[in-house]
Amino acid sequence: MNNLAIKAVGITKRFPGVTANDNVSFELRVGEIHVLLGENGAGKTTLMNILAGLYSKDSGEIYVWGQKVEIKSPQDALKLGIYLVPQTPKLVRSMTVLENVVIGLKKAGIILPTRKVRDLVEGLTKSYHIIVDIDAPVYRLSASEQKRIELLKALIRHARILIFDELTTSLSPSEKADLLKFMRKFARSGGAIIFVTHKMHEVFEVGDRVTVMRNGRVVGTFDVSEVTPDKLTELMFGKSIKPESIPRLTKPGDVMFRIDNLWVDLDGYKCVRGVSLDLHSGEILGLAGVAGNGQKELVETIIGIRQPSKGKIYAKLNGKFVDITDKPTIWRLKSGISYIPEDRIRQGIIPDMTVMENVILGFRFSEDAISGLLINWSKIKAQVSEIIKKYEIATPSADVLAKYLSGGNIQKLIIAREFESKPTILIAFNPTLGLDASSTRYIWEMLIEMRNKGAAILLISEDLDEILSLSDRIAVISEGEIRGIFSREEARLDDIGRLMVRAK
Amino acid sequence: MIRIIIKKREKELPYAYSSTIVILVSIFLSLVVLSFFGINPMIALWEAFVLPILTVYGWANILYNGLILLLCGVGLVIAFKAGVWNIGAEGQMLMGAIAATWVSLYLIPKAPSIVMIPSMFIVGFLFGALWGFIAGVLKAKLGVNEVLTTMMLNYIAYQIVYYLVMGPWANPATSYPVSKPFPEQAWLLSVSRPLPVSVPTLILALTIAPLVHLMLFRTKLGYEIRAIGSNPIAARTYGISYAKAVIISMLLSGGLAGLAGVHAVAGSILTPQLRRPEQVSRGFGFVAILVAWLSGIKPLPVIFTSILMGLVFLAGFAIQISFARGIGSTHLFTGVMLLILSIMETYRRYEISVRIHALRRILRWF
Repeated sequence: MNNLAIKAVGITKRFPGVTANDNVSFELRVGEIHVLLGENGAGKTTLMNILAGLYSKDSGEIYVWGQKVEIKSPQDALKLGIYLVPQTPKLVRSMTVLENVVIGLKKAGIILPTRKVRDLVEGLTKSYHIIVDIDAPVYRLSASEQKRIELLKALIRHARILIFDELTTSLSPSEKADLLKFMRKFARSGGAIIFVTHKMHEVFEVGDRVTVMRNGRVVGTFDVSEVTPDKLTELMFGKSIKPESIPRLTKPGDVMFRIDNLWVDLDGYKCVRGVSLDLHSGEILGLAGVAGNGQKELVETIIGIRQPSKGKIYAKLNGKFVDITDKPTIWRLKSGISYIPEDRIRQGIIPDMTVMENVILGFRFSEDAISGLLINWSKIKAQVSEIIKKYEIATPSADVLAKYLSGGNIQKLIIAREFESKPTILIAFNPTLGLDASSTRYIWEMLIEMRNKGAAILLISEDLDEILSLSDRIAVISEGEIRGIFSREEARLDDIGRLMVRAK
Repeated sequence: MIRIIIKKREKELPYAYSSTIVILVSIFLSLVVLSFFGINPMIALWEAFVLPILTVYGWANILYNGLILLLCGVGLVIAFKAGVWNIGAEGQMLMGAIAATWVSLYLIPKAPSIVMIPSMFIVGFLFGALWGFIAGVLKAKLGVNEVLTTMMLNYIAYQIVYYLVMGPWANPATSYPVSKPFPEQAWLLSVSRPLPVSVPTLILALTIAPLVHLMLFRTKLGYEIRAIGSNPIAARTYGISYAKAVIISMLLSGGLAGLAGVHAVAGSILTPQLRRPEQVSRGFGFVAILVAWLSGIKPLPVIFTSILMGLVFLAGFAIQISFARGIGSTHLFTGVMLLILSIMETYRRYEISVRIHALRRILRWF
């Protein structure tokens, strides 16, 4: 027992209608990086939340450092050295990075933040290559920068068992490499890491051992050196899925969408600097870039919730080429521009409204049921039930609040809403961020199908694999400027990577 | 050692459950406090809560109070659903009361009831809506915090009423700061005879509550209001106008409080006339916040919570009269209830358990 950091035996956790963990047993050895692999909804996050004190288990036993423990709260978990790095950062958005890091920290002192603590945090950022401006307010930071704050929070609290819940989903390749280096160092010096993921290649990049979960059960634990990706895939999905090549493109058509020398200011800072892009019907234009290089502001300007300081946006809607720079958002949506936002919970849905109410957001779905004086909910409900089936959204009914859906199903809900409006122009911002392999594949196929039907798609993604697999043309954005545009044939991973990170 | 463990509930407690607890616990605690002042809690319970529901006069008072709270409360539900914290029902009510006075005494003093009463309510709605609109526009267009503006507008409305009853509209027949009595065809209770309750207000309020329910849950406007209140970022991302939702909800919220103001003066059990502001609004605008919250921010349950709070409000007065105490006894009931409600709001969403380790150790010895 001495070499075990965590031993969990027979953990069971039920939610209304679902058994999220069914008699799960799991062992974490001291000094190892243990990958927990499984699809969305396999029960990984539930198990981790139990270990971190966020959920209470229905039955089972947990031993930490050889002692039987009851983890009743995150504080209990932290006392045992367990720190959960959450999937979406839990931060106070109006405070600075430094303030967020030291919130609740005893040694931080009464007057925040003291010189000593500041030096400590700065030291940590340097020694672990965590590149973030510690005095910047959190709301200014991109999703991936926000995730780095969670790392700092773990480090300063002397965590010995780190749980990474899908952390690497939006890190750039170099950031990822740095993180992996850090994880090794952390594990080898007496810590232990649980790395939750659904990405096969990460198992082999970081893992010492791997445990596979499916449908709330553990289906096997292996040394990474003794297992193959095929074997793991089979365990994850229950059957062998062969990767298929995605059908290639038809000929691109007319220009459907044009951004002309667009500039966007945010609090005096020029986030978007003279971006010009043409988007044709029947093509996917991939916009590659590291998070926080103006993509968010560009997209928000396209959709009309932010005003440009200079430049024009044109779209071909209902057969006519029009200047839409000053058109309201609702006009753009109704004229055939669809939008899949990056931050699905804050921007994509209204968590406290039902699935069915979320599907009509933007008033494009089931227009006949909305057009009268009263909204005909029973009609909408029938149509939404169809949609739920068609898009394989896992929810007990259309009346469930959207916040009770898992991340993957929330994204499916958004995709369903945006695709059902039959857009001619689709703006997809990190559409598969944090989704499991089968959902990702499903969404990719939907995008391809949409393109083959003639839609013009702008795909903004931090995932280079995604950009390279789907795009017909690839543009690279860095510091708010387009640094290069490639056709699919001439696009090479290393060229794009270099343009993404190179300063001018 | 004492440990308090707070954990988020996987499912929130229903309002029907939490509100019942709030009401029972706060009545109990209020009676405990009264007993410190030498008031027998059992007699107080009888005098304050049982006797009023046994008499016609009691019901007249309960319903007079309850209808004010119902109209204000339903209005507040609209604002709260839009995420706008309207603290100004008090002032919006007073604007309605001013409107009723103006219409009945100066605009159409000779008109028959059939014209007079609808006119008072319509103009009352408009005056109240104007007061809500000011705060709504300031919030939507300039980002001014509505809690501050609605609160300050209360004071402005107070002063306007004071000015009117002591100045231009003062009743020359008396030295009290009141207006002349309304002409009798404007008295809501006299057109409702023999019933002890204002029938026009009753009909109006019982129509409006379901209408607001329909508006919020079955129309596009209601959907937009709820979406903006629930997640303004996503709502705006998908083209819902923030300004529209905020301004319209404040218009309606203020307008409904204006209707309550008309009822407060024209439906008064005393002679209908404009009085000092604290005798007109009497803090109902604030109690209505409790009413809206106890209902779980839903228009239909407001019908029950408002009548109930009408009784609680009356209970305070009953204590004042039966035991010769001050206005404090009314504040006691509402204050304790507000306190318990705030605690319950947290408890509804979080599981709170207190563990006393030392105690457990001591218990183990036995």
